[in-house]
Amino acid sequence: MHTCIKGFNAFQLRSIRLIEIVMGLTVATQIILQAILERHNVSIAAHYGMGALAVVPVIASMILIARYLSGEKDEYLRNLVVQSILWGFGLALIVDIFLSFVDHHFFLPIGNINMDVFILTSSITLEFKIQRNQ
Amino acid sequence: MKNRLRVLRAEREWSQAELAQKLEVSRQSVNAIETGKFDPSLPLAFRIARLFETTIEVVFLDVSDIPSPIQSNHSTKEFE
Repeated sequence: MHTCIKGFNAFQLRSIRLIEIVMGLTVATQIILQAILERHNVSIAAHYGMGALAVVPVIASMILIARYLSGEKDEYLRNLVVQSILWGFGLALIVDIFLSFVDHHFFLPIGNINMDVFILTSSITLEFKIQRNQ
Repeated sequence: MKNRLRVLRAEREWSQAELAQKLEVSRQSVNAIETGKFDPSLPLAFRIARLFETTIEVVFLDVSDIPSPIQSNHSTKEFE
């Protein structure tokens, strides 16, 4: 995402950095919590606790993206971000539905990769759309 | 929607970046509007028109308002 940062104002840069940090935290939290679940026998209460902990960064991402979209004055850029987010959601949904049918054939458990797919797709789409209109 | 933004900008010898600065949008926005990839909102359209000291209709042209060659021939015959 950093390659498309040139020419952005302070608000856009701050928002992008914050969103990147929180999304990174989301992925890290998911990986760590899933690793704990696989290696340790945790109680049902701990399962619920970890589930709640895993969604905190996702909620934070949603708040940050909503704050960015409401504060973004450049309507073209706002339009691009919304389009990229929709692509991200769409592809995450497609991958999730597909894997729900085939994941038992894999040798290694794939785990929950929705957020990873969402972040990757949204970032690549945004980068592509910005580069295309240079 | 077609527009005359590039022509109006060229008349004033402004670069895309200069126009973007005046309109407080990104250069990519100006480029997207000029190439017809993005239609601006009404407030931005008003800002553009105000900057060029003209009306929205002079800057933006509704494609449906432009008569096609067949229509214009037809109307010319009717007129004759």
